[in-house]
Parts: sequence; structure tokens; C-alpha cells
Amino acid sequence: MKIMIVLAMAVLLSGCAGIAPKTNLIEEITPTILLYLKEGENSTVESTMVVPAVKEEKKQLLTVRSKMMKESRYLLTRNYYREIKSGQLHLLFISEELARKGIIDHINTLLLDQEIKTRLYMAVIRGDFVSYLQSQINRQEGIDRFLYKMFRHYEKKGDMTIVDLHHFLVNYYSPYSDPVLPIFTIRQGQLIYAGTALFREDRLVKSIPNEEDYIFQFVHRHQCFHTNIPLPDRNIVLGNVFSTRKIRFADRYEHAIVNLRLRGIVEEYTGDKDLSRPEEVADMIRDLERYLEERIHEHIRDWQKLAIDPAHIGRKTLSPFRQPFSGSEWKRHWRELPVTVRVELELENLGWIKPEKQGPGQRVG
Amino acid sequence: MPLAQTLRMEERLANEGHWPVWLGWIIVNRFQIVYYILFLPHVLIYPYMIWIIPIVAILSHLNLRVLSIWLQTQEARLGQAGFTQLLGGFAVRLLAFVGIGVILMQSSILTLSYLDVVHQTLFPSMSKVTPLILLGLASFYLARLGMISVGNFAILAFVMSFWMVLIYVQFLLPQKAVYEHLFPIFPQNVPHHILSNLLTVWAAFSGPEYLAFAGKRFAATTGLFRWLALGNAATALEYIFFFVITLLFYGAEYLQKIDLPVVQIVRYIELPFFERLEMIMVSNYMILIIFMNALFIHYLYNAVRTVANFVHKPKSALGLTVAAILLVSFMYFFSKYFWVLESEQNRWTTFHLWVSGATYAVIPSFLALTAYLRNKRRADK
Repeated sequence: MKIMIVLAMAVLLSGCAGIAPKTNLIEEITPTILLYLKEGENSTVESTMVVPAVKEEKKQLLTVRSKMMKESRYLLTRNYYREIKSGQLHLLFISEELARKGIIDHINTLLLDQEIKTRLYMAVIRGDFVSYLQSQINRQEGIDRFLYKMFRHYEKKGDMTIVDLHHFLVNYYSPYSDPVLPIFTIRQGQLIYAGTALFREDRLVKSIPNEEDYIFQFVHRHQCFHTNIPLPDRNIVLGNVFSTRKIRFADRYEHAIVNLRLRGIVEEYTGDKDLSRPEEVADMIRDLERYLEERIHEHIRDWQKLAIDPAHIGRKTLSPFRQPFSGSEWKRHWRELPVTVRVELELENLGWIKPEKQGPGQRVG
Repeated sequence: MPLAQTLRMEERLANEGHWPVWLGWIIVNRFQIVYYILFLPHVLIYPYMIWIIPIVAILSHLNLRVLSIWLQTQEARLGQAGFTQLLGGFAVRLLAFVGIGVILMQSSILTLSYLDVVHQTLFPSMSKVTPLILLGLASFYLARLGMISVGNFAILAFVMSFWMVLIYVQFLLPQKAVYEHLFPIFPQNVPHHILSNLLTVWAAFSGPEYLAFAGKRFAATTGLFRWLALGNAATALEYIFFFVITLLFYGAEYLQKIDLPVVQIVRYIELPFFERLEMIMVSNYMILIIFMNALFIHYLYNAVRTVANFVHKPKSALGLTVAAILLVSFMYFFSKYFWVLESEQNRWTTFHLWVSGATYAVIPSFLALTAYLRNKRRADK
């Protein structure tokens, strides 16, 4: 037995290998993690994939134009010396133009694919994503992984809109809600979070800019923690904001009330109120509350005009014993529903160190 | 130990012991769960359908009561001879002949449906025949160990498959679960498809009727009902649990679009060290199919013996092998000629639901009633 082992070792160690030593299966396939879909000419779709590097090669971008989703994978595989596998697909980016045309066909194909899991982060891209990826790959190889980590991080943290395939489809199929996706802009070679894209059915109809994205987060989530809420219009930055949203209906569902409770601290203040005087603070809080109420109300009116319900307020009409509106009834009712927004702001702390301001006499340090 | 090794097949078959009474609940539970668990939520869909499960569970509970009445009669304890006493030789042979058809049909449809899941989710490039033969071999190996071992194997099947419920607990928590999906839990207007859903759920509770022919295997039948009822209740809880989590996760409208929600939902789980948990989960259910088919091989063997009037000859390993080959080859030909298109499969599945619903409803009450009438007649004389 020992002799056999020695012999086997001798053969193995002798280095009589051919031109291509035996490789593992994993080295013969390319499990991609990033896919980008863009609208091509003549109702085709351009799919771009980041092909991971195995051993000493460089990462590459592969692009094909095809009419159907699976056709693109077929073409990609034939364009490359390794078989393309999508079992590791974690990121799906969609160009804004394509999102405006509707994406459900592409998405359904992904859902049906048993290799792909529904924990697939999705985002809309405004700008030239392909050249962004190209330049990034040259500079830092792991860009696809870094992007994935970013999505994961904010999914847990909850400051941004992060949506995966499953959540998108849940909201798509539910008659009481409409899907949303984060939207990113490419500007000067940078990928910038640019707010939330709102969908009607599977089409992008409007996007909330980054500066007002917090409003969507307030209304959309039942509870949420925000590290910072900058309100430059009011010269204030709120910090460590914990928001709790409650939705009630009054007058037999003829009136919706959105109650928002914000608890946080003042992180930065450049306004001219004296925060050491309670009455001025109360004044400022009232002013901020009115301001937020107005802004939120404006947005909700916008959604109603577009007949979308991205914050799934419709779900709240359901209760164990009652379903006051069927799906289509709710869609009609929602457009005309008067909504009142009430914001309650609780500032636990006005900043640890009160800035000493050189004002015209009225300020005491 | 050497004795156990030298025991030959015939002796082993002859010297079989008994199942402890408490085994009843595991056998009932696992036999009911087989395969149905994977697609049941897709059939029920709407939140208010959840009430069908407890309603049917209560009906099934009553049915098990009848079954245990039958199992306590002395005819049931006698096994083969008891049936002949009760119904007469010709009727027993006729019914056994029908039974062969039912067993072949049921085991084929359940096994092939399961293999389709394996084929779709795990090994799309593998031939469907390979797992069929492997499953057949595993079931045959188990069946060869004797009926008592098959029954005891239910414990293994339970231990190996029940833990999977724990994986799903996370779907009860927010983030993943949307509680509004469960509303309204009472129907707002006249619900549709309620009858066909009742049938499906009733069929999902079927399976324990096969215990009617295993009366002599139990060590005792007093107190058996309590164990059977426990198994039934466990099944009901499991069905409710799986329906609730799939509903919370998908919502009714989305759930309609998904064929195998219980499998699909696992695809969402992400563990830091392992992905595609459904690989383990789906293959784990194989143990239930092996258990079921091993039991069916024994039943098939006995049914064939009865029809061919070989009852008085001793059981042989060869006979059991022939029964196993019969089962597997029937499955193979069935899958080749009758189980190809999805429309065909759907038709067979509907047929299967009717058959298993009917056998579950008829067998216990029929046997209990005939036994009762016979005893009454004897008492009158």
C-alpha cells in the first residue's frame, strides 16, 4: 500500500503535465454578478456584463444586442471563451430610457430562471454606465463587488431606497402598491445616488431627486433611522432622526391622515433663532413641521396625479375583517382621496455645544 | 450480532416484530406531508382559504377516528386472513386488483411530480430516468429490510425533513413579511373554487388510509387513535404555517404566479457561507419519497400475492424484488408516455387528487362498517 502511494506521488510530482493542466469546473465558467440592460435600436436590448477574472486575466465588459433576454446570454456565451453562468447574478442595472418603456418582460425572464435568485438588487441608471464601468475596471478591478457591498450596506441601514427583484415584484403584482427603484446618475465619471424612481405598473413615470429623497423614506417606511436630514432651505441639519409613520383613515375612508413622528437632534444650525430660548425653539420646530408637512403633501399630491401609490398607503385600508376597496377600486379612489399630513418633530437635543454668535446684542452665549 | 447477520430474508420477513403505538403519529404526519407541502399554498392563494385547512383537518380527525375503530377490530389484527373472513376470497382478490392500480398510480404521480421539481430546480441537464432509478433502488433497499424497518424509517424521515421548518421561521418577521398580505382573513363576498380547494386539501390529508392494511404491524391498537390524531394535527399546523409564510412573503396576487412557492421562497435566503439552500432542501424531501415508495413496494407485493392467490406461500426476497421492479418500470413507462406535457401532468394531478381523496374517504369507513355489520350478525346468531 505504501509503495502504491509513493508511486502515485512520484507520478503526480513529476510534472509531466500537458499544455493545459486539469482545471476545476469553476475555472471554466464565468459567474457574473453584474448585468446592465440598455435600450438598443429597433426594439432590441443591449446587455452588458462584467466578466469576472479567473487567475491572471483582466476583468472585461461584454456587450451584446438582442431582442430577448435569454438570447443575450446565448450570444454572450458564444462571444467569450468561457460559459456564462448567471447563478451569481446579484446586481441588475437598467437604463432610464428602458425603464420608461417597461421592464416586466425582462424581469419575468429573470424570475423564471432557476439559477437566479430573487435577492437581486435592481437600480435605474441615468447616463453612460458602460463607459463608467470601463473606466472603473481599469482603475479598480473589484468595482462590481464594491457596488454589491454598497447595496447590501444600505439595505440593512435603510437610508436609501434599496430594492431587490422580490420586493419589486411584490409591489408590482399587489394592487395596493406600485414598485420603486433607486436611481443613480453618472456625472463626471462618478456614480451618484440620485433619489428614487417611481413606477406605474412596470414603467418609470417620475423620480424623486436626492435632495428630497428623505420625504419618500419618511412616508414609505413604517420606521426608519436617518443619520442626517439636511434641510438647507431652513438652515438646519437634523441628525439621528428616527421616523415613525402611521396612516389612518377617517370618514369611512374618505380621508387619509399620514402621521409622521420624527425624533432626532439638531446637528447643525445656521439660522438666526436663538436655540437656548425655549419659545424660539418651539417657534422653529413649528416652522419646520409646517415646512415638512407642505413638502410631503406636495409629493403625495404628485403621486395621486400620476395615479401611483409608491408608499403603499393602499395596503393600510386592509384589515382582518374588512377590505373596503378591491384593487381597482382603490386605484380609482386613491386619485381623489384628500390626504392630511401631520408631522410631529421632537428634538431631543439642540446640539451639545451652542455656537457663540456675534449678533447685534440679543444673543447670550 | 452474528445471528442478525445470518438471518436470511425469509426468516427476517417471518420474524418481523411490531411498530410501537407512538410511531402512528409520525407515519401519519409524514405520509400526509409527502409532496403536497410543496405546492399547497399555490392552490389556496387567498388569505381566507386558510380556514379550509382546519376544517378539513377536523374532518380528517373524524376519519382517523373511524380508521382507529377499524384497526381495533380483530379482523384488522389478523391481516390478510382477516380481510378474507370479512369480505370473502373473491372480493378480496378483486379489491386487491383495484388496489394494485391505485398504488401504482399514486406512487407514480407523487414520485414523478417530485422528480419534476428536482429536474427543474436542481439538475435541469440530468436525465429524469437517473434519479428515478436511484430512488427505486433506495426504496427497494429499504423495503428489503422488512415492513417493520420501513415503519421505523418514518422516524428518520421525520428527523431529516422536519428541521426544514426552522429555515422558514425568518419569513414570519417584518422586512420579509408584509402582514397586510394576510388581510382580509374572512371572505368579503362569495368565494370561488371553494369545492375544488376542499378536495385538494382533503387529498393533502390523505395517506393514513394505507395504515388500514397494517393493523397487525402495531404492537397494540388501544390508544392508537390519540397518536394518529396527533399526527393529523401536526400536519394541519405545518400546512397552515407554510401557507402563512408564503402568503406573508408574496401576497395573494404574486403567489398565484408561482408554482412551487415553498421551494421558491428558499431561494431568497442568503447565508454568509452558503447559497442556493434549495439544493439541500429539495433533495431532503427525497427521504419522504423513499419512505413512501418502500411502503408501497410492500403493499404492492401483498396485493399481487393476493390477486395471484399466493397468500399461503411464504414471502420471498424474489417476490419483493419483482414488486419493486414492477413499480419502477411502471413509473418509467408512465413518465415516458403519459407524463410529458404539462397539460397531461395537470390532468393526471387532478385525477390523482380525486383518487386519493376518494380512497381516504372510503377505505376506513368501508372497512369499519363491514366489520361492524359482520360482528353484529355474529352476535345476532
